Amino acid sequence: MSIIAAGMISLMTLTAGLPDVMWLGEPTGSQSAVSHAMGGSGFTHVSPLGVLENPSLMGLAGDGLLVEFSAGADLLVEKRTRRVYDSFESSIGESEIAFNKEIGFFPAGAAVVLRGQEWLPSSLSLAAGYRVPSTFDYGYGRIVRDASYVKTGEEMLDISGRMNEFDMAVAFSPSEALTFGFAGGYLTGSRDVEWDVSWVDPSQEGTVAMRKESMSCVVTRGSLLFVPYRRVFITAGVDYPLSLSVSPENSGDPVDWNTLSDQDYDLDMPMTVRLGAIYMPGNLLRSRVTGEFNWSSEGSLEFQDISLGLDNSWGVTFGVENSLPGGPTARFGFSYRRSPIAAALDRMTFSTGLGFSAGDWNLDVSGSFSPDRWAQTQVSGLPSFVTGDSLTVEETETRLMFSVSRAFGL
Amino acid sequence: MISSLLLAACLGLTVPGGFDLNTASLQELQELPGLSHVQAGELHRYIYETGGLRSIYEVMEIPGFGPEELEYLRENCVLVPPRGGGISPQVMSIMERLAAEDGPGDAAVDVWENFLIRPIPVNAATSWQLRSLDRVSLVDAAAVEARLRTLGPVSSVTSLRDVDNLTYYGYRNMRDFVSVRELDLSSMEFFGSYRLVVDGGDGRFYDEEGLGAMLDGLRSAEYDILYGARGYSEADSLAWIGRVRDQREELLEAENATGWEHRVRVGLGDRFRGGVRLSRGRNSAAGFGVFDGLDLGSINDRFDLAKGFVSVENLGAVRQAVLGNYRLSLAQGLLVDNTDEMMYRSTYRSWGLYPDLTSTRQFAMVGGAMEVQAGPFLGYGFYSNASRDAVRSVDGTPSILLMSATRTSAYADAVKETSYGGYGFYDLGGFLSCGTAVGVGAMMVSYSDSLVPDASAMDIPGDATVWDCPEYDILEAGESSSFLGLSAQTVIDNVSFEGEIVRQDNESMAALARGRWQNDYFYLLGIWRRYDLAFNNPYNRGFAEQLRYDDTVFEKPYYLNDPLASQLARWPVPKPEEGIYIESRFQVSRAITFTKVYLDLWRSIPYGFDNHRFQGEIEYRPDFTVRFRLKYKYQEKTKMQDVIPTTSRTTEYTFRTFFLPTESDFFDVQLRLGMVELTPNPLYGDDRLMSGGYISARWEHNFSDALSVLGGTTLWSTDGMSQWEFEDTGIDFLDGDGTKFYVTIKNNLSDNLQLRLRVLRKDTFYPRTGLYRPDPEDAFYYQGDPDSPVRDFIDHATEYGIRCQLDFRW
Repeated sequence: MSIIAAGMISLMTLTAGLPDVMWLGEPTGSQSAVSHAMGGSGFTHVSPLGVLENPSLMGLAGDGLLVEFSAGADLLVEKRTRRVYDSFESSIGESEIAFNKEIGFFPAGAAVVLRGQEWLPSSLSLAAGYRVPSTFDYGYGRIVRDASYVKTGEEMLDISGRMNEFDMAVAFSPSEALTFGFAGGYLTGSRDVEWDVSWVDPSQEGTVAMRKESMSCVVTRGSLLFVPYRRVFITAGVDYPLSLSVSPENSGDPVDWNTLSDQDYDLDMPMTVRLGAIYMPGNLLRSRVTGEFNWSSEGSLEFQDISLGLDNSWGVTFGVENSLPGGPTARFGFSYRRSPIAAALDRMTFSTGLGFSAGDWNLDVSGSFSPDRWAQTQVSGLPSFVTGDSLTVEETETRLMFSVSRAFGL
Repeated sequence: MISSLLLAACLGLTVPGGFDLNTASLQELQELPGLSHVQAGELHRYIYETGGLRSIYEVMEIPGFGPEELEYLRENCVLVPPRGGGISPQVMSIMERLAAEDGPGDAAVDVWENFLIRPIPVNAATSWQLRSLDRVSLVDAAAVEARLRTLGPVSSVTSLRDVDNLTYYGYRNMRDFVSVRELDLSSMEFFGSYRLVVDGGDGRFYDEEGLGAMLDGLRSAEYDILYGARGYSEADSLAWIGRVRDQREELLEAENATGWEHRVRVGLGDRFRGGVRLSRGRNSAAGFGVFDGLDLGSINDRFDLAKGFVSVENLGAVRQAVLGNYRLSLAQGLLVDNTDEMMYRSTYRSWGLYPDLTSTRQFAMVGGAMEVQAGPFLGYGFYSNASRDAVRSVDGTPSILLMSATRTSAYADAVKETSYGGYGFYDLGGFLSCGTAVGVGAMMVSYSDSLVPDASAMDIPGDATVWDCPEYDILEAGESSSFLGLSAQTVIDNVSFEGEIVRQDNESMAALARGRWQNDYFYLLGIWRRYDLAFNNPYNRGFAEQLRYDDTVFEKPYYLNDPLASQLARWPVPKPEEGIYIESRFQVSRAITFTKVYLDLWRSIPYGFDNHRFQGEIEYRPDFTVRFRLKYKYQEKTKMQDVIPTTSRTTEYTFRTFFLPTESDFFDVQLRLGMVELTPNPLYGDDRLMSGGYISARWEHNFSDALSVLGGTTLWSTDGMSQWEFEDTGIDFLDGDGTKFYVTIKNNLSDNLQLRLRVLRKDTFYPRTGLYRPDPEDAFYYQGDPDSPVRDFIDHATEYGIRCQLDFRW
């Protein structure tokens, strides 16, 4: 999350408020604990929340009414350090200057899928739901000290908010081997930033500055599912969001970034192409293997005819599910994501989870862990919060999720 | 259908008259009157998800099924169990072991994996082939060949167990790679494998040889030059600072770079092989071109190594011909062994010619190689033309080859190396004992540009240290070197003798002789070796205690004009030394074994210092499920240290226990304590005693044959004495104080698809105290902010590793 926050601040600070795709916050990646445990791709997960991302997967859903609810929490731990050198110019290590922890809870989503009803043609399936594709949660705090190591003040940055998406989806299966899916949704949300600097010396005036951006856009999706062999399922799709409308609002003390224009504006969003596969090897563990490759066109993004300076990005996810003999379902996975900003921000994530069933009810829990580290010199435009060029950020993101689902045989 | 019914009837699993449950459609199952629609659906789903019922009794595991349904299905349906895949779980397990254990060369592992799938026809095998297998000794290989010569072919591999002089250990290591099948040269069966590895994570890596240390060294050099502390001329200052800055810029791009590996191997019957590898190491710089002279666009930026080969086997007298990349390791490895790594005190060698898709770069041979066998003659010929990295002087002159883990444009592909040669062996086993042979080989190595070793190009002119590195100073300028080697070996019952001697054209020599006496409960191995100071064969990987530039100025980047030249300390060639090594294993009883006891007495030739090292390990196994091991090591070594020699005395104790509490669990706990006593040296204050130790625990749980989870943790504390330990996938160095843990998931998803995922976290703590300095010139400071005071702190370095490996075989 701190990448996002830092990226936003840097762009606002250095490019006079030029926004970038980071407006949309930290992607939750997956709205279901099942797919979260398997690398974080909902694109290959057959569930009510999964079909909002990939509507063609409704071709694999069972008859009846499927309902799913999911929620999660994020723990962000960030350490900022500075390198210390001796008189021979050799580094003796990294000295910590700030250590931040932020826990954010979020409702990941809720959705229903309907299929196989008398009033509904057998080749059609419907879905509707709400999901949270990304969140804004970042907190930074630092004690300011003088040359004698005496505390002189505190600075704090707090960013919060989330994006909400309301979707409808339909799938059409002309044969058992082929399904087409379409979805449309309305994305809306806000991001709140507060910057607070206070000083121990009462004669020094502190600073409190705030900015709130409200955002909305329409998203469209199309996908298809192809079954070339009874144990292999291939799926491909495109996410195509329309322009994002942004309404900023500044308040508090004037500082660099909140003296930016509060005029409304529109911003083009990147298109994402996704290719996924599900493989059922057929073994005693009833394994299920999923994988996804996706590509996004951030490189072409512009604001007022000026390139945002980003690269196209891509990512892969991989997940495995095994039914443990006499026990729950165990899942694990990993993902790798190229950053559109800088190679130093590429990220790998390891995830795992368990699934339990009781009658028609399913409870799934999952956890993921993602470390990241970069030096200030590797990402142009990042704010350092300190002077010098030796700032390094070590960050971990731990996410926990749970999902509850049930099938009703109407 | 008829064959299915016959098979099913033979298996006694069915009653005629029904259809096969495993291939029945949902509709067919729903039409069975003895099952409800829900039961039919559950059964169909179970069959689909598990790949089929292996036994009719398995239906009892399906929810809603009881004895009544079982009886009904037994009487009314047929069951044809699903066919197994081409690769058994046992083979997958051996592949896992080969990949995990230290010792065998990577290239050989590839070939051994092929042997697991298509084993060597043992009745046509020679001792040359058998000794190339993992941990099969010359005595073992000769014993099998003698058996085949005297009594003819064997009808089963198990009958080898009774072969005279073949130890059980040798038999066990051999049996999975051989079979009694006939070589089928007409077969065009297509098989192969694909491997994908993603190796990433984030963290700091400030070990002695890591990228972080290199970056630090470059930065320190830059400031040294800026402050005029090096005594350079103005022109040299400009040149060196430009070089240092450029290199630092390039290496910064490599920080936290994710490692990728794509590897494909294919084969056609017993004749043709081919393979390609495209990879980039973790924290490795790229952009120097994966193929010489070929602009491959973004591939050059994303990968740092490309390899490929095609080979043909069993073509008349040509046993094997390889075009592309190949690995060659012959005799005792004194003339030619082109691995990047030299294992200290390694007594096993992956003998022979292998196609090469390993990560080896600096010693990769590119060209053609051939193995020919005609009667008692076995010959190898090879030609290679490949780029090599080298240290360049500031004027661009290449001075010495370098194996750089962190490459920069200043070193990358500095010269072209052409090497060619051959080795011929004559098997005297026809009239002497099996395994007896003599060999003669020669090799020429030449470079496109003359290598000009020059201490003044390495040594900082204005510093206070005295340059003292005989291993470097003895080197002569030149464009080529030639080598001539002789070897011999014989086996008398259960005793073998082997040796090799190689002479360089500068009249220097390298020689090694070894003898081994073995039986089921005991072996005794003795090795004598001597490597002259001037002997400088880059392909020498003979048995040794140390690398050529260990304990030299090249271990200290701050003594060198270019700190990256310190990577020469990894040059995998033996140090000039002479010594005797004796090793033994002795199983006293079923419960007590001296697993490995050795003594090495060696002399460092450059300085004449005598050193010795002893290690003894005893294992007590009161029960099959429990083992205890106690290991003691003592080493006394002297090295030159700034004019005054320093002697170190290292003592180390290791206690290890393994136990299997259940059939599915394996525990391993290890405790190590060590200390080093140094000769007091006024240059290094009173820091004469260093110590360190760790405790580690590992647990593996097998959920089934197809899924296991391995977890491990280690806690360590060091006071100047770094520790090392073997993890499940490699060696790890432990410094400072710290903890680490890792989890590995191994999942055989099908007979062909295998997944391995590993996550590691390592926390290291370095207390930094006493930072206050009254003299501002001597103060500690923050980069870019020299006025902020630095307080005592604890440097907490965290490193994460996430590695995913996917193997698909067919």
